[in-house]
This record gives sequence, C-alpha cells and structure tokens, in this order.
Amino acid sequence: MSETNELVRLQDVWKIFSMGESKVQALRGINLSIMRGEILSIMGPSGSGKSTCMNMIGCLDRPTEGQVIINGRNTATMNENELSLFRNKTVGFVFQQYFLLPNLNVLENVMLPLRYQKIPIEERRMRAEEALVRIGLGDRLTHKPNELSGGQRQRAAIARATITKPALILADEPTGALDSETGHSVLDLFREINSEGTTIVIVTHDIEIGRTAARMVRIKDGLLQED
Amino acid sequence: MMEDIINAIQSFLTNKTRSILSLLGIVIGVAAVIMVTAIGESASADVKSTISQSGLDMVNIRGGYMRKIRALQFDETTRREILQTIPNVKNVFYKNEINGNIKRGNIEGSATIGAVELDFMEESKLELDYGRYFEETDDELGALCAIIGQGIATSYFPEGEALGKKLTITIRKARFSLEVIGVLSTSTSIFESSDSSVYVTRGFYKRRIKPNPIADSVVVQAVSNKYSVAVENAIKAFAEKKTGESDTLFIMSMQTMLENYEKTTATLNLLLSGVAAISLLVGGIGIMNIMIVSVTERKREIGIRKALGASQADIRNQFLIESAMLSLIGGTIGILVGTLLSFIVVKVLGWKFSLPINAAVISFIFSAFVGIFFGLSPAMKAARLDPVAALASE
Repeated sequence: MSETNELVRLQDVWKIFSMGESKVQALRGINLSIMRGEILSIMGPSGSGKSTCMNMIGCLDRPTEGQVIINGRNTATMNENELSLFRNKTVGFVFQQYFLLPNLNVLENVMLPLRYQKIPIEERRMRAEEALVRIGLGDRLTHKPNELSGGQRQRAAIARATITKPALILADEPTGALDSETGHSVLDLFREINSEGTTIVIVTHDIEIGRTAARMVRIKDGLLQED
Repeated sequence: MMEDIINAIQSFLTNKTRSILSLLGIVIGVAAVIMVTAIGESASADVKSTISQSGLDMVNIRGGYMRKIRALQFDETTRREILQTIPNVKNVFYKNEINGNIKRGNIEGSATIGAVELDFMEESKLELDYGRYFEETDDELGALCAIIGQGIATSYFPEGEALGKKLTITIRKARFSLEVIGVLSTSTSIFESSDSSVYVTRGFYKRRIKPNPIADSVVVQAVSNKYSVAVENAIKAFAEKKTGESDTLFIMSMQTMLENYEKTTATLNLLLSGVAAISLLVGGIGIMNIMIVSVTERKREIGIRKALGASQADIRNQFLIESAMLSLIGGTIGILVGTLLSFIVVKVLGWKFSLPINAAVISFIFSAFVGIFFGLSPAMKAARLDPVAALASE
C-alpha cells in the first residue's frame, strides 16, 4: 500500500498482561521505526519486554494500547485471516529453540509455510529442496531434526523462515543455543540474506551479538531507547 | 486435504496403542450394529423360508378344547358350510390326533397318531423321503398302512429301509399291524411336527377308532397365497357368528404369522440397533477425549504452525480430519470384526450368511459424522489458541 521506506512502525505500544490478580506491564509506550533493508538488533536483559516487542512486530500478539503499522497498514484493522496471511508472506520467524516440527523431516519442515499458501506439493518440494541446497543442507533432506546438530537445525529453520521470501525476518536469540563459531556463521547467513534486501530484526541479550547489527536499540522494563 | 489425511494417518501410527484404545468404543458400536443386522437378517431369512415352506396359503384352526365347543363342531355339516359360504377356499382338511403305543420287535414307545385326509400331506408340503402318499383306496378301505416321520423311522427301523415293513400300533387297547408305505423327510413345517408322528388315513380312523369323528384340528387352504388373510378373517367371522364370541379358537394363516414375525423382529432389531447406536455415541466421546489430549500435547506445534501462517481454519481442519480419520478407521475395523463374528455365529447356527452391505455403508458414513461431530470442539479450541501462549507451552 505504500512506497515509503518504513516497513514497520510501533506507535506508543503498550502491552499489559493480567496474571491472576496482578497486572504486568511488559511494554510501556514503545515507539520504534524499522526501515526496509536494515539490520536492527533489539537488546535487553531477560524480562525487559524484548520478546513481547518482537511478537508485536510479527503480529503473533496484539497491543493492549497503541498501534502497529506494517507497510502503512494498521494491524488493528486486520482480522485473524489477514494476520495469518501476513505471518505467512511478510514475516519469517527464527527462534532460539529452532521450533522445527519433530515428526517431519527437514525437507517437509521447510515446505510447511508454502503449504499454507496452497501451493501444489511438487512445487513446494522443489523450492524447499533448492533453499536447503543453497544453505548447505542438501544431503540432509530426509533427516529428522533430532538427527541434526544445533547449527544445522538453525540453518534449516532459517531456510524455512525465508522460503516465502518475506520482507522481514524476526529472530529471537537465534544464536542462544549455539557455540560461538556456529553462532557467527548464522549471523553471516543473516547478513547474506539482508544483502538481498530482506529486513532483519534480531532480539538478544548478548551485547556481542547486538553489536554485529548496523543499528541497535535497547529495551529495559518495557521502555525503548535508541543507542 | 489429501495431505491432511496422510498426516492424520501418520499421527495415528505414531502412538498405535493409544489410538487403538481410543477407537474401542467406535469399533464395538459398529461391530454391534453389523452383528445385529447380519445375524438378524440371517435368522429372519431362515424363519421366513421355513414358514414359506409350510405353505403360505394355509390357515390353521386349532384349540385344545375344540371338540368341546358346542356351537361350532367341525363335522361334515360345518365343512359344507365353510365351502359354501367362505369364498376363495380350495380345500378344507380335517385332522384327528390321538396318542398310541408303537412296538416293533424289541423297540417300544409312544407316538402321536395323526389321522389325515387325502392330499393334506402334499398340500402341506410334507416332503417324502421315500415311498408314497395315501391314495383314495387307502382312505376308502381304511387300509392298514401308515406314513411315518423321520424320527420314527430312525428309532424303529435303525437298519434303514422301512418300506413294506410292519409296525404294531396300539390305540385305546386296540392293536393294529400297519405297513409302512412312506417315510417323511425331516420336518421343516411349523405346525406339523411330523418327525415323531405316525400318520394314518382318516378313513382308517373312521372305520377302526371312531365313526363320524369331529376334527381335532382343521387346515383351510386358500385358493392362493393372495387370499389367505381374507380367508383367515372370513373364518374368524364365521366362528364368531357361530359361537357368539370372538377368540374362542386359534385361527391364523401362515401369512399372518409371517407378518407378525416380521413386525417383532423389526422392533427387536430397532431396539438392538438403538443400543448399538448408544455405544457408537460413547465411542464418539472417546474420540473427543483423545483429541482434547492430542491438542493439549501439541500446543507448541499449533503455535509454530500459526507463526508460519496457518489460519484458524487450517488448524481446525487439520484436527477435524484427524478425528474423522480416527473414527473411520474405527468404523472400518468395526465392520470387519462385526462381519467376521456374524459369519461365525451364522455358520455355527446353520443358517445362510448374507453380507450386511447396507448396515456396513451406513455405519461407515455414521462413523465419519461421529468423528467430525465429536472432534469439532477440540478442533475449535486448537484453532483459537493464542500463538504466543501456545509457543510457550511444554
């Protein structure tokens, strides 16, 4: 809908969780603007609200107050189906624990997002295989996730996240479960994907990781500040 | 959707023990429906063929106190009246029965002696194993000949061929030596238990036992099967007119008997099917339970799928197809088990087996509905899970 360079805008976003009697203010009036093509890291300690912030951007959750604007469109106007579509086509998630489905093999896992686009199975298989070969897992197609190393699993998860050619990759502590060498190769992968035009947002508590991004913002107790 | 079906089957195979246990209700319900239908149909077919063999054109009149009803005595006058006033009557057969002792060599016993009229046995479809039926001369002369039932033949003529041999019958202290002229096949008739009977002509009875006898039982034969109920009703009216009361005698056509039987079995079948259907519903609850457990266990998977772009409908359909597949697998197993068991039961009872195709098809379709109906609630729950909460599960 818009040709502006701004992909995502969080405008005065509040997220308040009710835990029984008490209320937790996870986000307290966040204002954030993410441009197309940038690599951004959101840094913060545990409990700072960084994951909640990521959920807002990726529309896994809705703000209690405030607005989330993607591509010029306010997500509050989107119904469940439109949100699912958004998550499928525009966003790719990468999680610390990889979250690959354990009873599907690597190829089937990477094919999964395309299934929800109702693309025929042969085309899905082809595209997934291509993506896995490109990422260096061509010889592991029929392996189950538990037969792969952590680094391989994360690379498979990244292949899955990028298979729909989304505009935005959201990574929550992507290197958290990996050793430093493997972690660095994952970050290299992100840089490569970014060089092709995809916007990358990495959420992390590790300053070393945070610094690898071109732009870093800090979040603490639900409040955001640019670095 | 094909993929969902394959995924559902894979899911089923992942935890075979649990899946099969959750199916048990459906399997039992469907197997029960199949068995009730198949065994019921076979039993029905068997009885119907037996009744049909006894002659659907026959109307039976009997009553223990028949000879004591003053107003209606089955003598020759009554016979004439019946033949003249009741339409569509082909024959009126009178029969007398009396107990007697039988002896042949060392073998002794008692039996029912039936005094029958000409053509009665043929029209009643009492089949001959060998020998011949009574002829006019036998009846007119009151000849000393008898036709014996299969049981009598085996007991008194163990060597086999009874034809031409003699049997000593004692009736009311009078002793007769009768020649066997025919042996009947094993009885299939409902009203004539011929196996343990010795038949003589009514002519013999009139001459040697009691002259001008009144019948102990009567069989009125209608002109064709079509008229048997009409004849039955006409005889009932006739009896009522004579005696002034209804229901003094047992008057029933085979046709009515058949219809009564069919009504009873239909009601019974319905009842049993109802019980089986309840079992099916219980099975459905089993499906619902296992789906609820399944959804709870797979919350994270649901969260991941939603993050990848699955809509609520996608998730809902995934689980609905799973529960439908579960039910259909249960239904199929139930059909196989039910068919196998009914086959065994029917064969053991010596009836003819017919594949319960209608019941199988209906059960199969019904299982699918049960699966969808009972799987709906868990599927909706899965569809509405909050992605963030779901991902955080486990």
